[in-house]
Amino acid sequence: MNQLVNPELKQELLKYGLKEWNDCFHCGNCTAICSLTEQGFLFPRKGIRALQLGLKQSLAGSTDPWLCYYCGECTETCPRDANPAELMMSIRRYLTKVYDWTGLAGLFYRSKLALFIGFILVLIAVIAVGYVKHFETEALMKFGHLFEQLVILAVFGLILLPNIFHMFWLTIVKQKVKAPISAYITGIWHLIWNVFTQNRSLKCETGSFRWFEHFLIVIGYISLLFVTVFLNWFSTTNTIIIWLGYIVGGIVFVFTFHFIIGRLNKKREVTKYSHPSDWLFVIWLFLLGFTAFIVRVLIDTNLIDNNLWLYIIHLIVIAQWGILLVPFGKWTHFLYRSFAIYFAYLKKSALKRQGAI
Amino acid sequence: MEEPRIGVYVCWCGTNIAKMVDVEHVSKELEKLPDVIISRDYKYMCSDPGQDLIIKDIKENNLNRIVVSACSPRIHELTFHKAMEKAGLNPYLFEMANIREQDSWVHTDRKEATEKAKSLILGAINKVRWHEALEKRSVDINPDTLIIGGGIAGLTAALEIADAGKKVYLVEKTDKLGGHAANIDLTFPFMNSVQQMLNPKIEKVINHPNIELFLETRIDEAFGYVGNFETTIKKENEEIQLKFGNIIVATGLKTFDPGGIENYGYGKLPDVVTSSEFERMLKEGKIQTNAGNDPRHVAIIHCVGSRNSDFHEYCSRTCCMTALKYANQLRSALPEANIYEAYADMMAFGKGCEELYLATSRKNVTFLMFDQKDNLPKIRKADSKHNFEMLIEINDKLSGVTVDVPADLVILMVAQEAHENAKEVAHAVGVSMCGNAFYIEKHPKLDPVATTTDGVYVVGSCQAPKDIPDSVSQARAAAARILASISFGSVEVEVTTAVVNENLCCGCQTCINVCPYTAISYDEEKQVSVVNEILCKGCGTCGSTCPTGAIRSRHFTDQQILSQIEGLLSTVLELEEA
Repeated sequence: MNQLVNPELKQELLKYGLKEWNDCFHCGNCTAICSLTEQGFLFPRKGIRALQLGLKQSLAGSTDPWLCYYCGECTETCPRDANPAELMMSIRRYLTKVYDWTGLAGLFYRSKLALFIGFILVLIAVIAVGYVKHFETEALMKFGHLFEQLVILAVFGLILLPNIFHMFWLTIVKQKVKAPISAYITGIWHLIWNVFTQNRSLKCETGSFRWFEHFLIVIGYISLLFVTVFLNWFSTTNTIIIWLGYIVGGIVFVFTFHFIIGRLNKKREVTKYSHPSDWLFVIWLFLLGFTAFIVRVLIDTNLIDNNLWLYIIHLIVIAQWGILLVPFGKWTHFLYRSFAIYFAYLKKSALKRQGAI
Repeated sequence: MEEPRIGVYVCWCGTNIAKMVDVEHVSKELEKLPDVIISRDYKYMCSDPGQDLIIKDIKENNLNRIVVSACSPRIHELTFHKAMEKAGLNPYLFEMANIREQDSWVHTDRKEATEKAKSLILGAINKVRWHEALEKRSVDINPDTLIIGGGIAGLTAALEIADAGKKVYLVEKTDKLGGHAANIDLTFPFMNSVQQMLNPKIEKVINHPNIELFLETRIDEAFGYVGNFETTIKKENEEIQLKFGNIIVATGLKTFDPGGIENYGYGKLPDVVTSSEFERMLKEGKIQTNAGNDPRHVAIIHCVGSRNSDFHEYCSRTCCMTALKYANQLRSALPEANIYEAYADMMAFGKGCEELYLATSRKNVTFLMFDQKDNLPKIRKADSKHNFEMLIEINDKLSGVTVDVPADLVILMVAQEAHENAKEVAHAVGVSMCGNAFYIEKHPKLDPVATTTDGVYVVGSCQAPKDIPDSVSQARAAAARILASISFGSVEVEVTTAVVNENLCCGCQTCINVCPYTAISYDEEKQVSVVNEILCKGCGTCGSTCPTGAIRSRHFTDQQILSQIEGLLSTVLELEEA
């Protein structure tokens, strides 16, 4: 059964940051210049073609968009100014909608109003909880800590894991990728290694500083999560943990601040085009690190009881981040990208077994 | 015959010849030959000082034969003819040896190339001994012009000539003027209305005092030669005799019938239409399916009958841009419809065309690229579960995926091909046709409107598929050529023609059959062949086929050619001894 050409898909992608799609006349320069593309995983041109023809199955079944780290070299050298890098980015945003079983990811991309209402609802809910707890510092902090653990569990268990399975279904099962069982096991190492290091992006032309910044933020973010959720940073008296929290919290907000400045300056290809979802991601990550840092400072200076509103703000930021941005926003890119590398590894093993590469 | 006094000039052509041929040595060697009075080498013989050298030598040394060994006579024979005329010598007492294209440019061994140059020049010297002085002749020109075809090209040429005050006979086989252009709504790439351009032209032609218009008229064979043609034209039952000096053929072309391409189902699927049929829809302002609905998916298929060895190998040249024009018109008429362009290669040459391509691609048009050789798109009826009429299976070259394109209306961009009666007209006016039945111009680059028959010009799409600006340019070019010849009043005709020795001619008429210019006729009374020296181009075909040696080609007599061969095969030494 042939795929049906569907021009309406382009109309849909307009809501995911797509601007123009027909400027590309398929010279292939982008694929030739990309340092990450390889036999069996040819991008960005092939993805652009699938987008131009509206081939939903081809787009949904491909891991290629996630293998790109957006160095922007294809866009810089494109003879038609077709902006392949941003086209890839639009496809990635669209894919988060495709994988998401709840439909909320798509809704938030398509409707700024829905996203706004979501943020307001979470804000009201947090203030309501504060009201119920009579705005008592200790009770609120206890609730906050419990809330963090529950959200992580719920978001992973109910939303992200099913979505990853959906992605697996679309890219491996439906594409009839027959990888050897051993690849599923050895691939796990790839997955873990990439989650922490994202070292594939080192191959990009943008250089090692961009990678280092990303690496520090990822490590900082994961460590901050670990310190606050598992080591209970806000309630601990252990000096080492307190200082560790300060360091990783500082890393997160200092480097995300640098990212925000970059997006404002628009000097590099990668920072030129900012979709609302990109802004939300960097700003909330900054707020997350920054408010956590301030709250701990207030605790250490015993000013927290008089400034509880700051903790409430921190809680609002965390709740919005955890309930809205992590499962349905740009945060998922981090997850899907890592799993795409795992699935691509499976596909590569299958291709090798067939002797295709 | 006077004693030959030969001047030989060996050209360096800068380093073009001199680097591979020892020109100084060659010219010195040749000076030793009998009858060679002067032999020189010079940097550029074609330059003014080079020509002056020859003129001076002719005058001072009483030379009566000249040999220049340089480049191809195609390039500079005329230059030296003029120099000889200046010196008071008949230009036919001249021969050129081509030691550049035939020697220095194609050899790598200097010694051998030098020897070859000597041979070539020896041949020329031997030939020029036997050259005779020939007198140029000219004939008066009838200032009237016959134009065949009333399309945009014919109309333009007619107005151009008539406005210059000269008489035009415009013959059109249908009952109206305008040709294919009259069926077109807007032109690419600037979307101008054809009616607005064409109607004033037609009006002016009909009312022009210098244009005599014959509608629903066909022409019979034209006899005569440049400046003096005549023919009979047939209008209903009436026959009219016309006399004229020049002919413009502007018979245009016709569109390809896609019924023979099974994949497209033209004639079977009611909503598969040709570009001409769609153009009619546009003119009527009603784009609808056969059932009378607004189409929601419109697919345009390019190259139907073009660029495919099963039909026509050539590119029909106008269809790609017409297809883009359709996409634009469809986008305006049906803003919500999905428009698909299935093309083999996008031929977007010409002013404003690449820009049109880019602008169209930005109007939400989906482009698909198919393989014109092995994988033509295939149209089939869609199942009733779909909410569109047809599905087009296309192997998209750019993704390597075979996809189905939904369609309610399919437009086939049909090829443009020569008229079925192109051969008839070609025979009537004496122009030749290429394999695709388009008329052949005299030179594809340097003489694109004239033909090998003097006084006959081909303009517009009868020569090859063309858009309106190209047809109009050709028409104006041909008109300018004709007006120039009319204003000159007479025309020079070839003198290196064939002549029949009536005493030797046996009347076998072999020569009549082989002559490509129909220049030979048979004199029943004398029972010999007669050459019309005005039609004869001096190609020599008759001379070489004549079994009795009765036909002599002036300037290429047996004596001249055999001596040349003798010279080519000899060496300087042998000739010296002789």
